[in-house]
Amino acid sequence: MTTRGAGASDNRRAVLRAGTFEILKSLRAFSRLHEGDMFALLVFTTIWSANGEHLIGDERYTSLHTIGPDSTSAPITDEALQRAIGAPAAVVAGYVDKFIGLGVVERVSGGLIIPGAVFTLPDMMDAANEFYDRMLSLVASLRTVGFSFGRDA
Amino acid sequence: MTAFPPPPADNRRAIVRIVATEMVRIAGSMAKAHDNDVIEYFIFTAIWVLNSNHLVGDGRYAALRSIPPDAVRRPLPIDELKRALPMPDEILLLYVDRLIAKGVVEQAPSGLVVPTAVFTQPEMLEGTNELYDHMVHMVTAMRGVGFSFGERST
Repeated sequence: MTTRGAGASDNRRAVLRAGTFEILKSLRAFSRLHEGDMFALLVFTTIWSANGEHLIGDERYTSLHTIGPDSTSAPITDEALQRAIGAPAAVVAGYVDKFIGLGVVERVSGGLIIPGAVFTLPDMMDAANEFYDRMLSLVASLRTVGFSFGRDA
Repeated sequence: MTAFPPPPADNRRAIVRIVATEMVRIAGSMAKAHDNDVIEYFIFTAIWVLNSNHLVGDGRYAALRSIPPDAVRRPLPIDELKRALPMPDEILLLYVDRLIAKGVVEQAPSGLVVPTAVFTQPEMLEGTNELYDHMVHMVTAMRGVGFSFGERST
């Protein structure tokens, strides 16, 4: 279990400073998948994470190459996407239209999904792998400022 | 004969899914202080992080309530913000203007600064604490699908 143990020094501000910096660095790196536009990355990520959130814990889809079929994607409605991003509706809708035009987002019954085929593109596979590596960097960075991850089993 | 441990299971996609989902949740939660606008939250966050990134490792400012004074904050030139948060200029600058109008970002001679006073507001302290708790939750979820943080129980 991961806790801030009794008697541990208060490192919360240092942890957030270091962790947030690493996360921003990752976002900047992955924005290359969207012509260097981080806003587009956030909209795209919000869609696919909503599509697959219910698959967390499903052991069939844990490895890099086991991409859930489209039938397992839970569509996100335009309204839910708008609420999740919170930015002006017209701007978010503009990004959605662009994604649909590019074929990386589909409008299906119930809302928007990112088809599984998109995740098989070499850039997307590389990004998933890189994402994992960046998590290792984040862990190292947080450990440096004293964040305790507890112990693995 | 050397006995090698079995290779670790490939859990990369599960980890990506967990982290992305948690980040979307965290951003949504933190955006409460920004009229629920996640983009404004990220721009605000980038400014304060880059104002104070040189303080990572400085033990004087590690605790929740040990907020660095304005004198040690490094103003962020707008070009540096554009590099850190690449997005169309018209969108980025609109948000910067909005943050300045709200009084949570100041335009100093050499760049943008989130003043110390902003961090002393109760909702900001609560947000910092909440974000820490989210990170603890994410670590627990990652461990749940087999992510190793490199320290084993003895």
